[in-house]
Amino acid sequence: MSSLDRPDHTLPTFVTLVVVAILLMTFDIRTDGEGVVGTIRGGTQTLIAPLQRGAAFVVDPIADFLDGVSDIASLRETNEALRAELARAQAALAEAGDDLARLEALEALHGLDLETTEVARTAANVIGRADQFDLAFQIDKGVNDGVLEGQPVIDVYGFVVGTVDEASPNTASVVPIQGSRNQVSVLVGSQTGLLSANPGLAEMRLDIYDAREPVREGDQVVTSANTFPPGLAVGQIVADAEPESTALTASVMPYTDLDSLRVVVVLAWPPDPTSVTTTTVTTVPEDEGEGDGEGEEGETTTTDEGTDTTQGDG
Amino acid sequence: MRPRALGFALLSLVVAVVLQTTLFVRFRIFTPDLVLLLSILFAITDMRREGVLVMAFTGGLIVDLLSSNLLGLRAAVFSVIAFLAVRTVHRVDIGPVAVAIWAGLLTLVGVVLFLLLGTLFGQGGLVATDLGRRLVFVPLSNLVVSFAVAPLLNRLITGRTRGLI
Repeated sequence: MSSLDRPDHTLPTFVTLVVVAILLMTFDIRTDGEGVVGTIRGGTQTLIAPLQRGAAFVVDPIADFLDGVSDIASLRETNEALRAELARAQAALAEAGDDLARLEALEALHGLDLETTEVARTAANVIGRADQFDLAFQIDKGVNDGVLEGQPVIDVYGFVVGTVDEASPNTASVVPIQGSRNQVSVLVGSQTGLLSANPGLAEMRLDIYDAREPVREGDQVVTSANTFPPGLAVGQIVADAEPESTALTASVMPYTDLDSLRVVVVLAWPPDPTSVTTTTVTTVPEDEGEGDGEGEEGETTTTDEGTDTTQGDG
Repeated sequence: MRPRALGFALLSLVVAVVLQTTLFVRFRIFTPDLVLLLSILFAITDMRREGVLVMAFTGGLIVDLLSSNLLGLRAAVFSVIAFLAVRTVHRVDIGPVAVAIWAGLLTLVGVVLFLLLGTLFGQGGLVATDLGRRLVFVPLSNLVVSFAVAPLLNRLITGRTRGLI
């Protein structure tokens, strides 16, 4: 070994590097990924992104071809299933068209003029992720394209994917809801619940604290007014669940397939963030009465847009 | 370390990062961790031992910066694995098969350490994704890939092949 004749500083170097790494981890935890760490992350993504774009340009067609060849049998089955689903969806759409016409007629009759908010959308390509098991991924749009930290991300079918975690000038990092520590406020029928990630599992956990009725397998879960615009499809209930006392817990399978994501859409939500003033309202579990606020399930941030943001205690 | 060798070492790290974040993330079974593999295989080149550790740390840090995990998590793990690699490389300098098995085993240790350290630092939900797949396929993939990468890396950095590889 050629390094045997040199003084060996392996151990001191090793100890120094491990100490530096632990300091970095501590600093990252203390700053919650903001500040200098966020800037360095953004800078690194900006530097690597052109290389990733170039590599993706070459790799994607080849990988897609290989995926197609290996999945050809299942693709046929999927194709048939999708055709059947399309027929059902078209029937439902026709039915919804009638309902919509009646709704418009009734709105006109009663002089209702509901405000609709246009949400700007930015389509972005997925250009990479740290490894095969990291749920977070990079997209090729950043602050220069109007993509900002905290904005919701959906896939091309309109299903919820996650939120923008870091945004550099030309790229951004997206953390899917399955890997996020933040909870998502959702609606199942008329019941509001909180959806949280299940470590290591594809399914997510739904908690409804004021459950009035059971949820059934296949029930659709959609976002309520929150960090996401209301009404976006998130997933569906995996198995029937009954309320115990007033609480209900169920598993939800998100619709989005993270492995096959190639293009996503970033929503400029809330529509005008500069106009949003936030006030923090801490919710205390009923059985704790008027405590000091520590250790609660989460905290709710209310905006003047009528939206609220619920965050877990993680 | 010669500037040319240092250049090749850095270049190989960047190529590994780009390939790992674009190409290998597309596969479900063949899932090598190229940067970790390089951190191990730098030990079979004539790079200084301290250099191997610094390169491993740098590689881990770059992947950390591109991921949603804690900054420094992979840097710490890759440094530990590189340290184990430089301390044990003399035992496997007998042929490509031995090197491949050694690289696979060290990768397994690295994956386990990553999961343990990640969980200790509150990253359980992020690092535990597809636990079984990660523990099986990453070491096996690295074992296979090392047959191609080890001689190539040695030739690039050392300018010759070392031992039987």
